[in-house]
Amino acid sequence: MSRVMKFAPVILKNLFSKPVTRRYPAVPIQYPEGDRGHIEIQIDRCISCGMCVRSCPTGTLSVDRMKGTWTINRFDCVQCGYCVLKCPVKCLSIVPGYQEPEREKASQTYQKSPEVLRAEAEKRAKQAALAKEMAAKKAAALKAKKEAEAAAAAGAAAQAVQSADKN
Amino acid sequence: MPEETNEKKAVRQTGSNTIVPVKADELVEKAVEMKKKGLRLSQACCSWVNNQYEISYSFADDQTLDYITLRILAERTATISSISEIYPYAAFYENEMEELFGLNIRYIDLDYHNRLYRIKTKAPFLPEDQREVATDETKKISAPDAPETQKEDAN
Amino acid sequence: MGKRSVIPFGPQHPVLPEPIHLDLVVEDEKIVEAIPNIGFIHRGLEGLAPDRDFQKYLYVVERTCGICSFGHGLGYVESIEGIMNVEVPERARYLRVVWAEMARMTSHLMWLGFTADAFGFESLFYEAWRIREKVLDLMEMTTGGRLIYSVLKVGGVLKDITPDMQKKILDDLNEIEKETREMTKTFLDDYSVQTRLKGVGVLTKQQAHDVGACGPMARASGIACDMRMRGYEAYSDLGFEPVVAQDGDSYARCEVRINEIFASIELVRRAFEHMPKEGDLSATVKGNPNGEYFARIEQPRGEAIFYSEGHGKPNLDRFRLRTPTFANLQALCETLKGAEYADVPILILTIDPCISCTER
Repeated sequence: MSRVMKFAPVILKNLFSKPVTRRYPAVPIQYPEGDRGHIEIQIDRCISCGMCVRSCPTGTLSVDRMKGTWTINRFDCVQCGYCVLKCPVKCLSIVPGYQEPEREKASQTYQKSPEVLRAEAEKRAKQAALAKEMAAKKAAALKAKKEAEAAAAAGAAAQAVQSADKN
Repeated sequence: MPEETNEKKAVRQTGSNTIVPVKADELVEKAVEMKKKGLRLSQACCSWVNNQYEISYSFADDQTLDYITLRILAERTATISSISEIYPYAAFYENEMEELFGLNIRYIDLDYHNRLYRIKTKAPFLPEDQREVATDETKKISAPDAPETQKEDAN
Repeated sequence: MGKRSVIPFGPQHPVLPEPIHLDLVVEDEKIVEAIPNIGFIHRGLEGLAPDRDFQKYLYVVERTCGICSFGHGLGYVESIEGIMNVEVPERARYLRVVWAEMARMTSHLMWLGFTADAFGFESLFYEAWRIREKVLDLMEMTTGGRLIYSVLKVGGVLKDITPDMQKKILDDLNEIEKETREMTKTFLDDYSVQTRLKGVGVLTKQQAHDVGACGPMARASGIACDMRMRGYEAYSDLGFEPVVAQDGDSYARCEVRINEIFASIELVRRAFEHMPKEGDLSATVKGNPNGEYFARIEQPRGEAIFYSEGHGKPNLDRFRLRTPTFANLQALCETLKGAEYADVPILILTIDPCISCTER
């Protein structure tokens, strides 16, 4: 009999000790610090460069520069963290807390605040005006250069005619 | 293609890692040579690069930890002879190459006739313009219900 | 000659962790031949390699399989480093060894639970998985994920193990070793376990060589071949010896995998001793891969081969992953010849099948 019942002491011990499973959801989960749960963004720091969109292996992110939005389809995200590595201004972070189950897949969009949008629009307008000014200056400089060359050529031609007359 | 070795990486690890170019009709003879030396077939794969197939059969030595790969360059319409009479378990790798790349391999021991993975597109890993090229011996696709395996002689 | 009939096994079966179909040709309750049929979980992951650049593709390769995930990431990164001749810093190599060995422990403990469940020993299933939870908690603390770690990059690793984490790991490993020794001793000595496993599915040394078996399947038949003897990453400094058994039956395969758990615990301890106290975590990688390389590593299930080919573009031209179960399927069909029909679930589980790796 002792040959067969080798596992009996372990079974008896398990019978009289408390369960190892946590009584979730009554007892909440404690996630360790570096746990990879979901992606968060500080939307007002985002510069809409699109590096995160190009780096996502599943293609779940999208960015609209004009409207100032960043969209993520949380059910397609695999929590790899590559977008967090690639963001040049480090506005993305990966934080603990898994995606809750839902009835259907849905995207979540983050919108930049109106002040930031206004500031960006002003900056764009300023840059456009500066670019226009630079272009105008360049065009004027080019025109002046062409006129000077033409005048120099005319002067050289007149001199040549004069010396031919002399000889 | 000259013989290639990866010297820097191999310095820290035991066992060499070489690629030997071989012609398509020498393949079966080389396989017999490998079997006589006691090597085991480790993997067989192919890829489509520069408009030709690059087929690799790799053999591993379990004592010295060496790794020898035979490299065959073949055209789209070429026919390769299977080595499954010498190494029976090569049949799986050759069936996969046939199905994914449309490579024409004859005399496979256990032939699944393109129904190993049952993919809808023919030769999905080739670029689209190469898929419908006819090969020398057109293989017939078996009926949709059952894969044609060796179990017919159950009597 | 008796009457032969063909009995289909799978793809849905309570004992199979993943779908595989076997056509068993049976004559008078003994199996004469087994023909495998795969393709239920083929996702064509190798075909995604030309569509994504080589650093992004690492995340796809890691997700080929949940159990062997770290091994796949490690092999891919090794093959790219082999093409581009990148020298990984020393501390990163030791960290990779620590995580690889802990992943091996979780895989073997999970396998032990499945095997016990296959012949009805549910108590052992729970015990093994309870111990496995402790190892998974350690992995979550250090890498952020329980099964898929995403802690590798071409040229090194992304995260570090602090001295506090190291102390916790070593303390927990002592506990885990004690509990595992108790549990596996009772498992291997139990009479009913021995009747079901001893002498079942014998694979002799010559047969194992002829059929191309690799990993614990071959080591249980006496072939002492383990890719860790090649000394990739930091294994050359750790004095590693492969675990071998001689009998070649299912009991020997159980013994080999159980002893490998203890060998892994020892390797983690040695790695922490030899690891340099501080150092770079990764080397900078510039440019695109141009060339080809075969990398071979030892997954928990055997020898896995990673072949990458690139021609100077950010996307690879071809990536090929040959997983150990692809080679062991033929060994399975060989062991099934002459077996009783009731032994089929156990024999399938002794090869440690990971079908999602087999048909990426």
